[in-house]
Amino acid sequence: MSTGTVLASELRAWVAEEVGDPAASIGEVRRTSAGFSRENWVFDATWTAGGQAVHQALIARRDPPGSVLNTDRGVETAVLRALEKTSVPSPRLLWADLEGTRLGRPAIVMELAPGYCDGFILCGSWSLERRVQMAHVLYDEMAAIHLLDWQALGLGAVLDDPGPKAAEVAIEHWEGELRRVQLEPEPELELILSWLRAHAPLNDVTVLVHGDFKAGNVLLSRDTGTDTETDAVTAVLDWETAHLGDPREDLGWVTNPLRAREHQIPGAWEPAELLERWSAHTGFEADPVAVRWWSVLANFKLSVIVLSGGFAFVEGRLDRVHQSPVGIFRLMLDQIGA
Amino acid sequence: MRPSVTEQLQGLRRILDDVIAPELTDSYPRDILSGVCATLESIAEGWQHVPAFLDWDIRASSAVLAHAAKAGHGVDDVKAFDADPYDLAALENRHRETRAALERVVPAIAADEELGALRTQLAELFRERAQRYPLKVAWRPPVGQSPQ
Repeated sequence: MSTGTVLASELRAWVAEEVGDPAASIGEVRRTSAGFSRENWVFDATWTAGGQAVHQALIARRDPPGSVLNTDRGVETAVLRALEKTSVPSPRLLWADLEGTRLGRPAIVMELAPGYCDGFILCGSWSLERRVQMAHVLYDEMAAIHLLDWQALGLGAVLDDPGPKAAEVAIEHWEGELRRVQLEPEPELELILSWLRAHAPLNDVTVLVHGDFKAGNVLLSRDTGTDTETDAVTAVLDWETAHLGDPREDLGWVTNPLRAREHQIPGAWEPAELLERWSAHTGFEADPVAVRWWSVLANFKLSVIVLSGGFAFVEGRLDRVHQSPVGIFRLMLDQIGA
Repeated sequence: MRPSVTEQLQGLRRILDDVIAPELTDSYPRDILSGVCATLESIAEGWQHVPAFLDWDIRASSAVLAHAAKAGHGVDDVKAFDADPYDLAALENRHRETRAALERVVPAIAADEELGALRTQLAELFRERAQRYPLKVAWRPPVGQSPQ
C-alpha cells in the first residue's frame, strides 16, 4: 500500500471532520516532486454544505522525517493567516494540525491556489520586453511584502523582532544550524563566518522578510498568448522561512550571482535595475554594500541548507543526496574578495 | 577485476534509467530517481580520485597550518602524515583531523591584520580544493514546478 493511499484515509477523515460532513470524499492523493523541505500532497475533496455539493482542490503540506530546512509550522500558519488580510496574494490556509495528530507529523491543508509556476520565466522564450515587465510584476510583489504593516497584522506576537541587529541575529541562527548539521569540519565556512561577523550591517527598518522569494515560489495567471500583456501574480508561496528582519536580506537573496538565471535578465534586469526600482517602490535605501553582505549571507545559508541535506541523508531521513557545496564556497570567496 | 567498480556503477545507472524510470508515473519518485542516477554518475566518474584528493588536501592544509604555527597560531595536534595513502580509513581519519585543525585556526588567521599573505594562501587552498573536489553533482536550485 503506497504512502498516498495510507494518507488518503487520514486526509479524508480530517476533511470530513473539518467540513462537518461524514460522507466527504477525496480523490487520488499524489505527492508532488517540488519542495525540498516539506512533503506536498495534492488531492481533490468533495463534500456537501448547505445542501450544495462542494468540490475543492487542496494541498496538504506535512513535515518530512528529514528536511533541508528546520522551520516552525506554527510561524508559517500565523503568517498565512495574517496575509489573508492583505493585498499580497497567498494560498488560503484551511486547517492546521501543529501537533501532528492527523497525519503523524505536523501538517497544514490549504486551498490549491490557481495559476502556473515557472521558476525560470525570466530567462524563458518570451520577448525581452515581456520578460522585463514580468520582472517588474514579480519584484514589485516582493516590495509589497516589505511594505506590509507587520505590527498592525499582529505578527509581532509570533515573530521575533531583531531590531537594528537583524544581520547579527541571522549569523547566529545560521551558525547554529551549521553546528547542528555539519558532518565534518568546514574551515571555509569559518572564514566566511569571520567575514560576516566583521562586516555585519545594521538595519534602519524592520520588515516582513519572505526568505525565499523567487519566481519558483510564485503562481501566475495563465498568459493571454500575446506578446505585450504580462501575467499577474495569483499567489506567493512558501512562507515557511518568513521572519522579521532587514529588507535587504531578500535583496541579497534575489541578487545572488548563484541564482542569476532565476532572477536576472542580462543587460536589462540586473541588480542595479532591481535595487533602483525596489527603492523607488518602497522608499527604503538599497545600500549596495549591505545588499552584498546579505548576498554572502544568502550563500552561507544555502551552504548550510545543502549540508542539512547531507546530514538528513546520512541519517536515512531524506531521499536526495547532497554533495559538499564546494562551488558555493568558491563563490563566497570571490564575493568577500579573499 | 571486471566489471570494474566504475563499470558496475555505470551499469546500475543504466538499469535504473532504462528499466525502472519508464515504469514510474508519479513525479516525486521520478525526480528522486533522477537524483540517484546523477549521483551514481558522479561517483562513477569521481570515486577513483578520492584517495589522491584526500592525500593532497591533507598535505596542502598541513602546509597552511605550518605557516600559521610559525605566525603564532599553531595547533597542537598536527603531526606529519606518513600513512599508506591507499589505506582509505586512515586517510579519512587523518583528513578529518587536519580539516578540524584548520577550522580551529581560521578565525585567528582571519582576525590578525598582519597575516594577509597567510589569508591569501588559505583562500588559494580553498579555491584549489573546490577545483579538485572529486564528487560533484551540479547543485540544482529547487525549481518551481510545484503547484504550491
